[in-house]
Amino acid sequence: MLLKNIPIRRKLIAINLLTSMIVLVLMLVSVFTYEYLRLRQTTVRQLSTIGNIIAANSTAALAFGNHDDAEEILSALKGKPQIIAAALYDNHENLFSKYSVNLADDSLPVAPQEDGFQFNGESLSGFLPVMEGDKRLGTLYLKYDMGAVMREWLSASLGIAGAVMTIALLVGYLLSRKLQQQISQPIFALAGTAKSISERQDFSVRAEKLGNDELGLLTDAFNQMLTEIHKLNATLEQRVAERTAELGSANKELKREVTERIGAEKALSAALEKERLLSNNAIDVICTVDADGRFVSINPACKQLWGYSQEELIGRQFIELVVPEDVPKTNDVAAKIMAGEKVADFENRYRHKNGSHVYVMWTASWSETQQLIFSVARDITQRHLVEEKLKKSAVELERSNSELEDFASVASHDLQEPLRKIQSFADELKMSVGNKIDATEQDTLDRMIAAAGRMRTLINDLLAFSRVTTMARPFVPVDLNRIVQEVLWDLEARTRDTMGKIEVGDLPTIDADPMQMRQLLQNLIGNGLKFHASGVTPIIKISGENGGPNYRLSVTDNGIGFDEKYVDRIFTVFQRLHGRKEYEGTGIGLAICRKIAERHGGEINARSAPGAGSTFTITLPLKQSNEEKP
Amino acid sequence: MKAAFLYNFSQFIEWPAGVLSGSQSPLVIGVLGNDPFGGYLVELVRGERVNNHPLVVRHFHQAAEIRTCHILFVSQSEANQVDQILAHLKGRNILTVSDIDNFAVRGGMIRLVTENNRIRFRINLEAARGANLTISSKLLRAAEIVGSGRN
Repeated sequence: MLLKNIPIRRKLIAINLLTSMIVLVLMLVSVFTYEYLRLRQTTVRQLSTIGNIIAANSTAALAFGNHDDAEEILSALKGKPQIIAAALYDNHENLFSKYSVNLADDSLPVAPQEDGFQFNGESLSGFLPVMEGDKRLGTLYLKYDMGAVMREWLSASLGIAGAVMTIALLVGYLLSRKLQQQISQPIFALAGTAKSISERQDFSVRAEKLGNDELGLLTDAFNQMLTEIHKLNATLEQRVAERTAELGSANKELKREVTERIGAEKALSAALEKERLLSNNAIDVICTVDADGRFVSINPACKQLWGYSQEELIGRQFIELVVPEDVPKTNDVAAKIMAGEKVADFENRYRHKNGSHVYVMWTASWSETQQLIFSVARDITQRHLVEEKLKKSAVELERSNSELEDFASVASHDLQEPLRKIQSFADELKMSVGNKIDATEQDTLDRMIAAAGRMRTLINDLLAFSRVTTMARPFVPVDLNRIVQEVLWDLEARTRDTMGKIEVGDLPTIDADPMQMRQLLQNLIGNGLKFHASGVTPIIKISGENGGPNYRLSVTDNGIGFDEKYVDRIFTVFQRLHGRKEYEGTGIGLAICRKIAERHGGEINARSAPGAGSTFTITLPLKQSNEEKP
Repeated sequence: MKAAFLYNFSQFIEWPAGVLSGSQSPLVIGVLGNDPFGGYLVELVRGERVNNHPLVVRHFHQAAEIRTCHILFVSQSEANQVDQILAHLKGRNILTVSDIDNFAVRGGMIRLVTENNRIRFRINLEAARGANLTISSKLLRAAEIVGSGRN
């Protein structure tokens, strides 16, 4: 049966009608069965009633043997055509009287049987007692033809059943056609929505909800599902779009990369060409060495450097070329290089094919991907020879310098003693001669005494100059504010004489030699007080500023200044810009300052112009390592 | 045969209230004059009961002897004295039965007639009513009804 393919509407109607029909048929069957049984019962009762009447009426006929009467009584049964036979038996069980319709006489029982009715096919027959009072006078036999009654009943029943069935079917059909909408309509709505969605791919459509039953829930669930699908669809579309865009950009990227790759390949071949040409034209040796220390590639410069051709070298251990004394350190460096360390400026010596030694400076690095050492070697033999010479002369210079210093120190020291004697004797002589000598002699004596004094100052200054290195003390933290203060106390008299003004800013504490710092500042401030134009009150400013690891200390005056083209001269020993008559001095002070600055790893500079004052700037490290250079 | 009729009559007749009042009181069938049944009637009713009343047969020679009696058969021997007998019994609740000619016309209640070898009976309803007896319609069906003074 293709019941599952027919629409729900018709299915529902069919189910309803089928159910109704089955119920109706069952009901009709039971009703008719009941009716049938009742009919039989009624018939029996009717027959029994008729029989009883007949029997009661027959008593006299039987009692008085009146056959005519009996027949007459029995013939009353003509009014009941269904009774097809009747008979009376007397109390001797002899047939007394009979009645029959179209029935052979011998069909009647010969003798009465037990009282009571029984059905036999279409006929109902029975025996009834004929009683008068409590006395039995005989027996009545009746035979009833059920056939006609049954047929009549059956046709009537079938007619009713047919009518009922027809009406029930019609009413049932109309009702279920109306009522099935309750169920089918929401389903149609759902199905219609689903169909329109699948046809138009429009997920924004929603099924109409027609109630709150299971179909309502189904509709809700369906709509919810649609919302989900709608969302998913949107997400999917968005992702597709995104993916397309991504693919597009990836494609573009790929094209660009391909273009780049082509460009790169061109560039690479150009680079290879360039590298080959450069390598061929290079003066330096460019080579690669494998992990076993064998030359893998080398450029033609090797012929120039070591006297060997490229072919002679490739496959050879490079260490074979190294001068035996340099082999250990070369091996150490090679190990470092292969450990990933980049080595530059490594120097060693190689044996030239002609037996001479070649000084070589190396730059090398290890390529992990190619398992090769890439290196460039430069011939530094010439440079090395120059350096050797330079080193020799520097050592020579150092020695002569220190000899000179020693000499200066010793000489100054030893010169002091006779000088002191000259001075003291000259003073004594002046005291003793008094006015005994003339003015010219007096003047000569005074000049001698002054010259001795100048010499003493000169010697002291020279000593001080040489002591900067010979009497050096270790660096300790020095508070420059305190040093400046001490210097100002020492210079108090001179400051007062010149009416000078000294302004001091806030100064730091630095690592330095305190005595030398004091000397440095004393010299600079002293110069400021000394070199001023007559009639001008000296103003000196001491300030400073941090500059990274260094401190810049400035001493500014408003003195006579100098032409900057002489700036190198003022820091040189015995160099003076002014005559001794104008300003006192040995010309050593600023030389000492430079020496002190240099000993501290710093420097001294001066900015000035004639008549515009001077600014001396000393740059000193804030911290010292205390590893003093000689 | 006629004896059986007498017996059967008892079943179709209703006596007035007061007669046969006791439940056990016997229903008496009397025979006036010569008994034509011999001992047959006595044999017939022996042990029989009608409505729980035992049946008893009595013989009378004169009407004056009759005391308790419910059905009285007047024998042929009394044919000449029918009128007297009936006059004597007038007003009493006794069913009078006889095969004497014109018995019913003369005021008797049931006359037995033999026709074509069959026994028939004629009933005088006025007479029966006069004696306050009710005769079952069923009995009447089987009988021929006559009036007083007619044949």
